Amino acid sequence: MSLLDWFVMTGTLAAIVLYGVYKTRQVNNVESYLMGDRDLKWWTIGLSVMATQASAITFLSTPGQAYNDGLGFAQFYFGLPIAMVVLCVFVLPIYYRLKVYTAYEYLEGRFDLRVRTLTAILFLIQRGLAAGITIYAPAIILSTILEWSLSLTILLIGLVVIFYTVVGGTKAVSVTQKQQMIVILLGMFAAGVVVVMELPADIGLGDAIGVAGHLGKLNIVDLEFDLNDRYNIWSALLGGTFLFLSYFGTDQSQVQRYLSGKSLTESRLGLLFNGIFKVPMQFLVLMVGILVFVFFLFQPPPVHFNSANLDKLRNSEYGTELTTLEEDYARINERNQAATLTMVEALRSEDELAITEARTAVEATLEERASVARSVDGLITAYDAELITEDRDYVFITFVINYLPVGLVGLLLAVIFSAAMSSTSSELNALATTSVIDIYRRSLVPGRDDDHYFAASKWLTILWGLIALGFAAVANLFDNLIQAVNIIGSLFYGVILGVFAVAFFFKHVGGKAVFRAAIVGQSFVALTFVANWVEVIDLAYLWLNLIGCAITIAVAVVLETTQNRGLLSGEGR
Amino acid sequence: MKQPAAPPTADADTEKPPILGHWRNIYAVVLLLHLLLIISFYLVTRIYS
Repeated sequence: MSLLDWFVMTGTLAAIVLYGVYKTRQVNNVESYLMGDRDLKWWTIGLSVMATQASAITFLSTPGQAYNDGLGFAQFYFGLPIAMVVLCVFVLPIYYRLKVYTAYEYLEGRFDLRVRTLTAILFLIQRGLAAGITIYAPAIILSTILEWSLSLTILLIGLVVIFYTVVGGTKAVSVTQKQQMIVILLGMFAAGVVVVMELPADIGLGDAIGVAGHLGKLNIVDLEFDLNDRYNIWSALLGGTFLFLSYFGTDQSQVQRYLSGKSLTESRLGLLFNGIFKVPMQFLVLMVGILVFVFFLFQPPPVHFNSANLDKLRNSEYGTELTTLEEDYARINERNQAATLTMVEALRSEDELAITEARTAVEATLEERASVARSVDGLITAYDAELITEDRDYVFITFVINYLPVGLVGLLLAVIFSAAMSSTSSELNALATTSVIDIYRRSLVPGRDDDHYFAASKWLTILWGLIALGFAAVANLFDNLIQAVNIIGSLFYGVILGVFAVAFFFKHVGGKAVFRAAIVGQSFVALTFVANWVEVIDLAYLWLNLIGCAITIAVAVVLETTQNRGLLSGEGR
Repeated sequence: MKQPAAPPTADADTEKPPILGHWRNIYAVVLLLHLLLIISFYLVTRIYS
């Protein structure tokens, strides 16, 4: 990396952090620290909500997803604007009227202390683990590509985030996220422009879109109904809306962002801003991936995008086989480039027969390329079965490092570090807030003065930061860590959502019934998970979300009805 | 027996949006824009499929 890239990257990140610290220098009480004095404007809330959801993996992995599978992933977000409107109508007014710090605080007023504490603890477990992954996942990719130490990369991300989150609390999170999101959007837009400029001189954006479209990369909307397919319009509008309602409505890392608004109006506008711009933003990120795909039709891509895996193979007994495969790959790429140029000419002439023939030729060379890549994957597995052969997450960063001009490389690395920091800071802030408000101040050490809880909030932010760092540091000990954390999330998320669904939509159900229902729901989810683990049943873990939610609601309603009938019959006697 | 607390309703929500007069109009615009976006995505898909 050049000196200018270092300057741009460190300068951008340092400027954002220092700006955040400067803007929050007056923070000196709990209200200010945990709620940002509730004075944020809608654009800050909107960008902050977007930045919380968009982790570094979003910007590393999403272009790679488009590179492999096209734009279909954009459908995943189709339920988000609907969820934003539902939250603005039903949930925000309630949170605002009660002036709650956390989503779980509302549950005490609606039910009782036990329900509040239970849901808060479930949130702390799942989000505490996720915070470690938010640091670890991008760190492993960045350390591989930049040839930095993994531990150093984890420490760099973690310590900077802990520093400004501890110093400025929730306002520091929001104001830095606003700057980070601006850098992210500018960086991704610049990357998209540069990809087009790096195409051969006579190939324009229109040609690139035409080629990608005819190779099936621009198929965004899939109308076919298939329960097993995550990316069709029906699963997006039904399942996606459900998922985003639970994430934005009950996850404190998001709830805290919009509760810091100056007014209900500002918070609503912030969420609606997210509703309007989230899908176009994801589309932009995916389009960058599509353009990178077209770029690598004219430029030979590496046979495998994870350079660390290739280096290991090259220095092993499989080195000769790898060299032979790379030579084959180079010859295929020459034919691929020629076939793509023929396709561009055919598209310009609008000759349907010529377009079909050219497309068939390009697809044939792409299949040959994929075949060689699979052979390399086989070599990697033969060398070390523990190595991950999926290289999708390395596609975009490989392009950034090798093909972007000096200066822009630094900006794009700042984009990825910014994304990692923005989502992690929200998580630490939410974990500290829930720990202080729902557990520490409410149940463990009540009745102390504001200074005490202000200090406790800072110490708990440090503690959660260290837990996240510790988890990130040992994350490589686990075989499939991201899946493990997703499973843990699925174990708890359904029950939390079920409790909130009862709170909002089943007004006759009380705290006793919902607490028991949550215990039953959580036990059933745990038993289902164990049954799946010992292979008594075969169930994808994502279904645990639905099972936990449905059982909690159903049992709560049945218990409440039974209790009421018992009371009525008692009164009748 | 202690009765469960009823959840607050949205009736007391009286804040007006800065434009379009009523929140339902804002929501309608957001959903309409989303619908237009999906339709344009669908048309792109149709063109190339």
